[in-house]
Amino acid sequence: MAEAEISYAGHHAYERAQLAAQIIRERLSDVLDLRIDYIGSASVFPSEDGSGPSFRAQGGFEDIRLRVAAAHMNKVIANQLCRELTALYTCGPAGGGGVRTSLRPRLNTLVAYVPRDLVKSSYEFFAGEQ
Amino acid sequence: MNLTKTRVPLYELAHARTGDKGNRSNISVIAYRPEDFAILLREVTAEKVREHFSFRKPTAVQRYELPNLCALNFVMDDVLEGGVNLSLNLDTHGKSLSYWLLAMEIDPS
Repeated sequence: MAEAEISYAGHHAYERAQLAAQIIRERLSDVLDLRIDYIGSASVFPSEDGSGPSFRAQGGFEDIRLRVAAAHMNKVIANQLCRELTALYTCGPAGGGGVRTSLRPRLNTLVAYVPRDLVKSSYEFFAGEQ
Repeated sequence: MNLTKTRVPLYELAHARTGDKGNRSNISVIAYRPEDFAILLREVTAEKVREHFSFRKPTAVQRYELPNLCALNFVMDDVLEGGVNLSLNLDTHGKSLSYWLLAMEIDPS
């Protein structure tokens, strides 16, 4: 799983973060399913495709951290997200700062039923010590 | 505040906590005052909760009633974008979803 973040602050911070997200989307959405969050406006409630509640401050946001996350079986492809987001320092909207990237393996868990006769139930009593 | 004429957010009457298992979220809603439990029963139905969370595309919403606790428990299937180990959301457990439910508007009259 790859995660990368960059901050925009000051005048038009939210709009600059949206522009940065558009750049990332145009360059990567053919190879990665991206989740994009605007930390400070909408980063938790929305669904992965961006639908759902988002919030606007009066007069606009002046401090946004753009977060992009993606998962891929191939580490090299996942790492493209980290590289593209780092590139926003010099090839993105003005004033982007504080890039952090991370790439880490993860395991998924799945819910499944097992045949009841594979589940051995039993109990034991243990004497307590005084 | 006049609670009889206006719609109010659920957090005026109740608090909530969230749990998860796999791709399921469960949210408990607990009335602050026992006399408000009847309002919760009437206003906070499984259908309304499902509509309120429609952007997370729940495949099922089941409501359980716990009258001795003046509480409701909602179990929502497939709302966690895969669950704690698969979701790309910052809040992989969906702990914050309780506050989205508490923002739902109800008629307290």
